[in-house]
Amino acid sequence: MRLTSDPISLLLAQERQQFRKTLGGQLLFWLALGVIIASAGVFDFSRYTDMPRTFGALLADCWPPDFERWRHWLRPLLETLAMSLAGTALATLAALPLGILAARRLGPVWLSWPARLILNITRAIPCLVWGIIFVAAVGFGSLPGALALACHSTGMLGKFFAEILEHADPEPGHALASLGVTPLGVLRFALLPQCLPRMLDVVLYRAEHNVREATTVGIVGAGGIGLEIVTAFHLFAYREALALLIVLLVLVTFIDQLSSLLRHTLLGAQRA
Amino acid sequence: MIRLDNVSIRRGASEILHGVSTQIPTASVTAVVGRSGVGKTTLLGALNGLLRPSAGQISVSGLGPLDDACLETHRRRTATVFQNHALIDRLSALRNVLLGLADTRHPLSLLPWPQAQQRQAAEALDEVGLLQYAGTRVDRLSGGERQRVGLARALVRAPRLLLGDEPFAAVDPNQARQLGDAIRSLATHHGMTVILVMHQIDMALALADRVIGLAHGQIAFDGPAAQFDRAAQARVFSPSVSKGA
Ligand SMILES: Nc1ncnc2c1ncn2[C@@H]1O[C@H](COP(=O)(O)OP(=O)(O)OP(=O)(O)O)[C@@H](O)[C@H]1O
Ligand SMILES: [Mg+2]
Repeated sequence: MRLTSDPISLLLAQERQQFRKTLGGQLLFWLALGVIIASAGVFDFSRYTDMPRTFGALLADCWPPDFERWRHWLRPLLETLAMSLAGTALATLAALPLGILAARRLGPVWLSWPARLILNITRAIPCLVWGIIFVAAVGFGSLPGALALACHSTGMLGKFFAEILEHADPEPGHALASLGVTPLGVLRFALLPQCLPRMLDVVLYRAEHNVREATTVGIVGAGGIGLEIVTAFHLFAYREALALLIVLLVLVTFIDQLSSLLRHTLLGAQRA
Repeated sequence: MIRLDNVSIRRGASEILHGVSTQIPTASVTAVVGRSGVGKTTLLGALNGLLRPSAGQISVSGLGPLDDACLETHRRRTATVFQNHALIDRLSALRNVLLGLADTRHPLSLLPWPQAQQRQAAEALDEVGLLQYAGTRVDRLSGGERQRVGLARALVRAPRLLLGDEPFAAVDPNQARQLGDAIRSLATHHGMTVILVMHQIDMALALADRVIGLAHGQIAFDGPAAQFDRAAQARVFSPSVSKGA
């Protein structure tokens, strides 16, 4: 291929044109963002006038935190922990095959389309709604909580798994295919080893998230620490509610530390 | 023996190779040379089945024309050293070499690699002088070391057909000569057919029995290495577009 008149200035002219084109798009983007934020009423400053006073009153009511009933919280705390971890584990098991099938160019089209649909549906239905459904289906306790978390997390994990697989370097896979390795073998020996750290990352992140989310589904009757918090609020026991929130904070921080330790031992060990 | 009959290969919108015909004898070493972008990697891709010819046919002795039915058998006897190494960065050198045996394992097996295969892989690493790096992640290795891991991953298969895409490009001259000798002896003593894309002409001439020179998507030279003289080299590497009919 030969370019005729001064190829370098031609290239630079194209780059300038490209910039001008994206400039309009950028302006439009920021404008749209402003409109969207305004439409949520964020700029309606008169609504904020009562806010400091309410916050102050609430703080005064809940200080100091009241840990007196801590013995009664141990069981719900363990329930919350159990349902969030069980929910994450179930979701990971379901998301792995679904994510693989949903990944572009990996699953056959007639399977990847339904897999993507399942992932979208499970993700679109909020965890709280899943909670209500499962409480109705299997009764109160941590079982409906675990199932609700599993359903919602499957959608999210599956989507991330699919995306991670799609962005893996295809070259090692081609290399294995050229040796007569089957597509399933390429997935197992070339794609999964590349993707494992990032997949583990999202699973651990999801486990952390689910500990918090488990509190929310507790509110609709799935037990755990969430139910205790809501009950405290309903009884206007704000000092106890604050104590429970502090306990939750400690739990979440603990899980956070645990998952970073896990990440380190599982992935750091392979570094030489 | 491998025979190419009028093989044309397209990549994207353009045809890269136009009606290439040649024969590659068993247990020989063939060097493929030509300017950058002429289609050397493309030719190897056709030989290991990663690219399908848009016209023409490739036949392998004992298997016949390469088609869906015999492609897997052909691939199991073949190993390719890739130009960009195609290693998995976060795995150790040994693990990467073991992947050269992945066609012998069930994809769903959760068992560790069999002891015998681990030994094979370690021996292949030793052969390319990298045994001391067996446990090192390959993204911590130098370019030449990575290339040798790629070579070990191919050699561990004891293939009948070895395709190398500039397998010595990042290796120092001394080492390249040693590895070249090792490959030479595999061809002579074990009947391995070797096709190597090479940029260093002097090394190609020292190592190869035959040379295939590609120019403008066609074969511009095909013959014994001894006949690949200055005039022939000039024909292969000339920049002018002088397409034959
Ligand atoms: N995936 C692709 N899609 C479209 N065109 C491609 C693709 N890969 C390579 N090409 C084109 O095919 C031509 C031949 O590429 P190939 O990689 O075979 O060259 P090569 O002879 O191996 O070059 P080098 O010596 O630089 O490795 C090049 O012009 C390149 O631009
Ligand atoms: Mg190339």
